[in-house]
Amino acid sequence: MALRILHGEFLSHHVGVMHHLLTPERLLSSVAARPALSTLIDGNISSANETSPPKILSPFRTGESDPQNHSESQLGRHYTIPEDIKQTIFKHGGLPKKFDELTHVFTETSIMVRKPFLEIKDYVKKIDFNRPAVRFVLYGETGQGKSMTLAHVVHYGFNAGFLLVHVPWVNSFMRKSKDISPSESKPGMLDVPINAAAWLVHFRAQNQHLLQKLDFKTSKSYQYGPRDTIDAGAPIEELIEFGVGRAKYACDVVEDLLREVKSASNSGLFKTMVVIDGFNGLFSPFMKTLRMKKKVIHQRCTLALPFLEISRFDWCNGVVVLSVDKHAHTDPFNAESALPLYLLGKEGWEHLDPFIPINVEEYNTAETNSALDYYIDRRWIQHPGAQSESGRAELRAMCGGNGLELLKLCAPL
Amino acid sequence: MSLLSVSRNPLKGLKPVRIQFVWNHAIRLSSGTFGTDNMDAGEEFRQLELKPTRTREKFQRKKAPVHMIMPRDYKRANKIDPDNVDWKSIWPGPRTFDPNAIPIPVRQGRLKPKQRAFGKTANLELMKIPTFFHLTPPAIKAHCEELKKFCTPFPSELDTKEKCEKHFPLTVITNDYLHAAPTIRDPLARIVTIKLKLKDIPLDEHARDKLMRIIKDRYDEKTDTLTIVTDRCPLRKQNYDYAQYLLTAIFYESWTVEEWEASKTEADMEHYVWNRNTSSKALASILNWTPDKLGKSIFHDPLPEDKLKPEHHAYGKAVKNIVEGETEEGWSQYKKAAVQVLLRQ
Repeated sequence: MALRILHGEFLSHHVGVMHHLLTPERLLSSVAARPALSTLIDGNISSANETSPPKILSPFRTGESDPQNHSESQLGRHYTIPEDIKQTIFKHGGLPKKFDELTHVFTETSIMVRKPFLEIKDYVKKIDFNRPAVRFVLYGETGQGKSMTLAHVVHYGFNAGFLLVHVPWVNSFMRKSKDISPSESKPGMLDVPINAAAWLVHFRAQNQHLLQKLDFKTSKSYQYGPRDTIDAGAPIEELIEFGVGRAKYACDVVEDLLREVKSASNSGLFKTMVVIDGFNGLFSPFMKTLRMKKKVIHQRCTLALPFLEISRFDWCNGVVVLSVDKHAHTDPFNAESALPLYLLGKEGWEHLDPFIPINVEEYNTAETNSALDYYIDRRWIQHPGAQSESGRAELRAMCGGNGLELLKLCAPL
Repeated sequence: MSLLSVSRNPLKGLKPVRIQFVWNHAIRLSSGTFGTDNMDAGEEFRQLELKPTRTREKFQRKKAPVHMIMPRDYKRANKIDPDNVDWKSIWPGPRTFDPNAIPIPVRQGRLKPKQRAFGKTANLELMKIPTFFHLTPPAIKAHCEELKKFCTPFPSELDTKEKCEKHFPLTVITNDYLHAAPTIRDPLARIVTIKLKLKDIPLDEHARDKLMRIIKDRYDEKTDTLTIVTDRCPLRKQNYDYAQYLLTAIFYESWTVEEWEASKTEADMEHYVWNRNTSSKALASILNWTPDKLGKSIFHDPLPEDKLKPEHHAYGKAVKNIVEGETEEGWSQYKKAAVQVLLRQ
């Protein structure tokens, strides 16, 4: 029934432009590439014809949902992350908040294929994995797509079989931690147990499939409390499970886990992709808790140490993709520049150098047009004035190529 | 006595106004009409004036006659022929403007619309400003002719500026002041300025760095010139000697290497030297890396100069560019260099 409706709509809607659109590269390769569509049709949901993408792909879309196959020809087009993969890798964060809200409205998670991602992909292919880990640093003004590029990279890493070490936003524990307590293992430093446990859950969710397959075991025994011991040779899930259950030791567990990850990648067990958003937040001098409602001036938070450690170059079989952000800066509202050296500071620069900087630039005209087409397609823009050529030109000029700005501008239309 | 006086003259203490009021009132009462006839006739209602104001008569002040006292020789300007006159004898030195000595029409002053500026006679604006009537070109020429007999000819060998600078690298500047005053001393004459180009004195990298720190803002980067001004002694000779002493002292001081100078850190560097910094050490560590070095101290010494390849030099240059002021272009250059160094080509 739904299929017939879909078919009917397809005919009535596209019959005039069918000759123009029916080119082989625009046709969806198979139903299997779009599991969401098939389930909707099978599930006999009457609203399927409104929300599911049309069979013939519009020029702003690409059917290629595997980032490994993205290339120059898909530049500026939107690809859709399959729902099950999204649930695996972005369930506990990783997509910008504004965009994550929209994915519910759009009933799909589509990301535009952009140049920074393709650059990183090409560079990752050129990496000699027997050499020290290569660091990439994304930089650019707020709202130009650093976090979206990172989300794209995470999906790429997931599909390419990397073990993911992904921190969705550093300042969630450096600036706005849920809870703090003095560290027992490192006197004078502060633990953020709840955030550490939450991160372990995130890590476990992203890498469950790999951990089940791999023979990844602890290399030595760990003693946390008098009765809390992890033996050498225990599966690594046990360590994670312990950290999640005993939040008190979660920061120490994260440190030990990442040390294990590092040495295991070094020995060639697997390849690791480290993705950290707002990396310069790790060098900010203080952390603030919500519950205590006051700033805690402190040099280091214990959870920052393992992520600093894993972003060094003293290991191999690893790729490190970081972003520096004005919002993660010590004084986020007065950050003068979006360039890496200013944001990282001297300490951060000496920690990272040498790295490969990737500039996330503003949308060019084609990309803005593609985004507008997508919003019109998703009914995010419904106003007929905004859909006209002059309205689009106005929106293009007003957003200045900034994706976040465009999103905000289109919200009331 | 007082009672008596009151009974004799009861109106004595009242003022005439009061009397008038009483009188008027009495008339009105007796006539019985109470002013209605007057009002009907259109006359102004008279006001009661308890304190009558004096009517002000406009009186015009008579203009005082102008007695302009003209100077005795006020027609002198008319007698001067501007073309055939020895001007420097009429106006030999600096002097306030004198309309009678200037044989040309001069006007000065703020103009109102459609009004001519004021003429030269009794014009305060002209008298306020300094004039240079005593410094006309013929006057200066005559002065120079007079002074020539005190001068010696300029050495003919020093015909170009380069030769002058080569043979006389040190410039000493002093000022002499001449006054027609009771004393011939002027305190400003004691000040001595010496100038020297730094390329004329032998300096190595360390000495130059130290000299820069000593002389601070006395160095002009554009002209490569060191300027020392001495004015603390009362006499010029003393100041000159002191300037010479200072120059000698800073030169030898800059060549001295003290023990504590070895502890100069990166923050004390006046410019970024890549090969001394962590950046080059990190690069060396990456190039010398082996898998067994996991978790150990990774920063080694920088690579020796002979092992550095062209791409490493390019990388170092890009880093220096970034550290000394980051720009978008600087970062794209750095990216190119980093890709060359870090990735498989």
